[in-house]
Amino acid sequence: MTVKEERETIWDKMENVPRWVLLTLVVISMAIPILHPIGLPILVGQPARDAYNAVEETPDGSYVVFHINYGAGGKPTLQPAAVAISHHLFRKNVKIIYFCGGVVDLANIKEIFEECKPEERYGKEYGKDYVVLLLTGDFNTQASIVLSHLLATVPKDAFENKLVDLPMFQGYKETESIGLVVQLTTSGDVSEGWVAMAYSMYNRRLVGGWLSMMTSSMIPYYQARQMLGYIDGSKGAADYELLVGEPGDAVAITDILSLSQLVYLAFIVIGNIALIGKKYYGGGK
Amino acid sequence: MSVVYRRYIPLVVAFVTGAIMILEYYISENYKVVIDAADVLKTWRIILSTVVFIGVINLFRVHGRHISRRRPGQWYYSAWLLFLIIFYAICGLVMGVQSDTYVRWFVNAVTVPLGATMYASLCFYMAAGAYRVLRARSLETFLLLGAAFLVIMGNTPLFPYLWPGFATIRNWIFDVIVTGGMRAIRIGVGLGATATGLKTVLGLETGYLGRRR
Repeated sequence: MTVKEERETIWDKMENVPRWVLLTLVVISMAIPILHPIGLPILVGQPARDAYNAVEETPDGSYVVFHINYGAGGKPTLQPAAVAISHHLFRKNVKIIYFCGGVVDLANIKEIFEECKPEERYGKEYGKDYVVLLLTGDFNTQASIVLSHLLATVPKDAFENKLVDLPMFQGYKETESIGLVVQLTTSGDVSEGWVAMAYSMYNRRLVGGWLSMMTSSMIPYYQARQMLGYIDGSKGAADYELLVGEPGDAVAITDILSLSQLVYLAFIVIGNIALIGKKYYGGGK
Repeated sequence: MSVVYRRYIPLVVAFVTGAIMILEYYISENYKVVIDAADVLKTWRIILSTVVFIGVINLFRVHGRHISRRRPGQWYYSAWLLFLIIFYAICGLVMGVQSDTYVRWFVNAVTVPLGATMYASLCFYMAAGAYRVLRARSLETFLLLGAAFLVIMGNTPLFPYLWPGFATIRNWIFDVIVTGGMRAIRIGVGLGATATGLKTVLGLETGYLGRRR
């Protein structure tokens, strides 16, 4: 006796599109904007606007602590945000304390300077207007040191200059001098840790930035105004680039986001049409 | 003596350390002794970061065993891992981890691309996963699908530009539904952590002392 094979209907085909087809379309949707930037429009979001306003309202002469904490995975998302915020900070009359916990982060900070060109574009001087610190230890210790015991605990910057000899630290009053804390991180612990350290413990103004997938866990702090604004992944970075008038990598990435997510949405629709089709018209398998 | 050494001294250390760190939050700066003691303890935590060596030693133990036993399908990966640990350590010590050569060849040319590749591959899994999972098979999955669809549309830069309502809907989902759920989780986690911390400080939670004999 032979088993009669059921014929594969259109609904079956739509329900089981081969993975290679889906992934190829995703690759194509990403490749097109890279090869030919489209420049799809962007509506600037409120969180990025709030972050921009928080930076803008930082008092002249105050110090901004800028924590860079992302590796290779988060770099495409957060590096453009770091560059855009740095542009904004370099335009203002504030002193910036960049700090990081590893060589990858330090390399990222060096790249920020290469892109922003603080000396050439803004007349800023290393040691007088900004400094880079490389701190070891766990996050809470790092944050505590930077926010309250910097000069007593950290003798040198990341390039072996003595902190007490740098002009920007003359008259530095630790916590009292810090007008804003900016943190860009891919770590949930660090991101929440900053709320505990900067806002709860030292009562400092705080702006954050992270990967989009972290937003759901961080948004309660923003709503409670414990965090004044935030950069929500690549979209947030693109918003900030537009706000400071320096469109860069993040704006380019939003084209990729728009097209690739269109593919995602299209396949979700196809899958559901197939499900409904099979329910009402029947499927072979 | 052994009970005192194994049990009571660690409990006293845990109590004093925990009490100082908690007190620091609640007392004024007039109580300088406590503030200074808390500062000293924070500095000690930097020393504790050297426990990373224990991790490295453990890695050598575990993977050294794989190599010595020639475990099929595993030993050559273990050998490669240990070789790279030693190689990176030597290069870091010789060149200095902040030197341009180290950063260019070991960070920018190896670590960054490898990390980016691993992370980028996620988008393909997400695409395949979204296609297969987000289907309205029941009322619950229909609600999940609807929320996911609206959030994706709100997150896609193009859609809110075409109609700002997409951003409004997405923000409402985040501000009301997601935040409500997350607050409940956060409060639960916070209460749990506080209870566990208090139990540890008061000596009621002794799991960290190891198994009782």
